[in-house]
Amino acid sequence: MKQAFPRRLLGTVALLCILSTFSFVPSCAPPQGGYATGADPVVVDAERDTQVAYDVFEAVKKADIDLYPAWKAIDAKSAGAFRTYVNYIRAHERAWLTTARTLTKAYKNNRSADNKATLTTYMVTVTTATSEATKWLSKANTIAPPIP
Amino acid sequence: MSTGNTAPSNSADTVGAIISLIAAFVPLVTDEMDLWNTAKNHLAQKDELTPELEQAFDDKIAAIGTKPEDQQQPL
Repeated sequence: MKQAFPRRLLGTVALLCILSTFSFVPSCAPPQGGYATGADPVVVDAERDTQVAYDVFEAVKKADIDLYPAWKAIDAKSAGAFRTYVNYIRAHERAWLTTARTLTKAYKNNRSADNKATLTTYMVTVTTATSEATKWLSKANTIAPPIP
Repeated sequence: MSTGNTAPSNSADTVGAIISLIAAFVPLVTDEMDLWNTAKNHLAQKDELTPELEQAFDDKIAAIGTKPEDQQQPL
């Protein structure tokens, strides 16, 4: 009866030791910041931001086609500003996304500090355009909501 | 009489050819969509794209400009 507590304590200490040992082994440690094990956050962020940009640009172009007539009937001036912005997206999206992919692949092939800086700097252009497009998308859906 | 018999046969051949064409095309489209959705799931789990998924992504971007909504719209 006297040895029961120390034995249980010993078991707990042993378990903690095992867990702490595994947490120092990279392959057993939980992913940092939610990233998959072995994934490079710079690559994941760039690929995700490019994918999100693609989806948002697709959505804003569709909203322009679907909602512009109704929006124009409500407020021609702001509808015109929306269409002008979406035309700007149409003119540049391919170059933005292609460049983002090219720089991402360049960094994946050679994960140098220079390639990282070039990629992360360029991705600001893509994420800024995505953010702006998201604002317009929200405005379009508020002013001229799609007919259910 | 013989010409009367060939017409339905030609129609049946044409329909058969169209069905074969669609049957060949549908899996390609499905595969492409599956890869794109797999790529998105991969990124949602914060993992890097594999070369196969990268290709699906690049194909999507390469297709920008081919749809009607991609074209400049009049004010």
